[in-house]
Amino acid sequence: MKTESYEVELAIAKVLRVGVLVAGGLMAVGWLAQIDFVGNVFTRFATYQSRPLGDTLEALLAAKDWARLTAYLGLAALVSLPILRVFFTFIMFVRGRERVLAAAALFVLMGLAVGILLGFSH
Amino acid sequence: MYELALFAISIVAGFWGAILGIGGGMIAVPFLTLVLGIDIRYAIAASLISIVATSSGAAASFLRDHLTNLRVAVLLEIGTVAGAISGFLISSYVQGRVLYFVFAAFLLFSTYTMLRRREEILATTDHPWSARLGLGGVYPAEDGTEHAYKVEAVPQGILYMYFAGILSAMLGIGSGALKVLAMDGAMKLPIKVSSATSNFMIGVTAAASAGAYLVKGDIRAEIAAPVAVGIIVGSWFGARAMVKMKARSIRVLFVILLVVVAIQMLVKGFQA
Repeated sequence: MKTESYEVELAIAKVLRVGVLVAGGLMAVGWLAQIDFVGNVFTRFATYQSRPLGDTLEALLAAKDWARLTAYLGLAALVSLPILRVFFTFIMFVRGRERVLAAAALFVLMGLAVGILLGFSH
Repeated sequence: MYELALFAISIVAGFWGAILGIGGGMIAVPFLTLVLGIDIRYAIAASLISIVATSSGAAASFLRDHLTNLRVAVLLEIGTVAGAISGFLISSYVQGRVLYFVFAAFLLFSTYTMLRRREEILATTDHPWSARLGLGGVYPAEDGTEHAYKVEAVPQGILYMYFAGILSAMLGIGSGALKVLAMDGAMKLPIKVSSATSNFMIGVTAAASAGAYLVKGDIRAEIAAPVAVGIIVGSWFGARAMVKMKARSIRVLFVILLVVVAIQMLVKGFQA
């Protein structure tokens, strides 16, 4: 059972590696395409202003700001990696008939979903 | 220039974050607020992305090297995810200044706890839950041989993880330090296993909050992208370096880091 678990862990590790490269690549392309070598882009973030992601993406689409849109796509891909990681772990425990740990993984997945939904409601 | 500086410091944060299992947020948040003057709410949101990046960048190596205990991680994540959601719900009602002091107090408490233990004390018996769920494992020691280990105090570990999750959501940190302390101190896992398993967990903890903050709009690509890319690069190297380092060296570095960042946060709190 443990040897099979280790094989699945290796498979999860490979998926993670590819996922990180894809997410990192998208963010790197999006960031470097609009990098400012002279000015300080961070001055506009000195004061907090609430603005939902939907509004930001609408504005970027309207302005055809593909660089920032690519960076946001990379961010979404990055955030999804831990979720994928837990999902594959859940599958591993289900296949191994380890009910307690499978239930734990399922609880974590539901918690992740709730966490993201909270963002929609705030 | 400022973006490149952020990228460079993120590489360093990712490198040490992977080694110490603490995530890049503990280094990224002070740099974003103290040096770049970014509002702490944006900094906290960006650091959650950095934590996911640290975790994801190093997790593949630690899993392959048999350092991460996936079973312990999944079980303890019950507490962290519940705590992260709780922390997100209450974070809107807490002032920025309070967050600095909470962060500093948390770091100083971690330092005190770490200094109390001079040597690695490993579990000699399995907690009943650990025996039933097969939580123990083997890990590669510095000499290249594999050593078996057991797991104690599982319920206490889950409770510590709940508070770690709250801190993660409120302060934009992966609470890796508390996770390492809980696994190393309460559950008596080897420090490298604690660090690697913490590294795995902090990504999940942070993702629960990061998803919410991303949708809310607090994670800004201009800040988060250079941070995440730098962290991914740094954590990749850090994961490789950690396997070869001595456990005692990791402890010493961990304590120094905690003290430095705690002082920085106290200063910022008084200035706010």
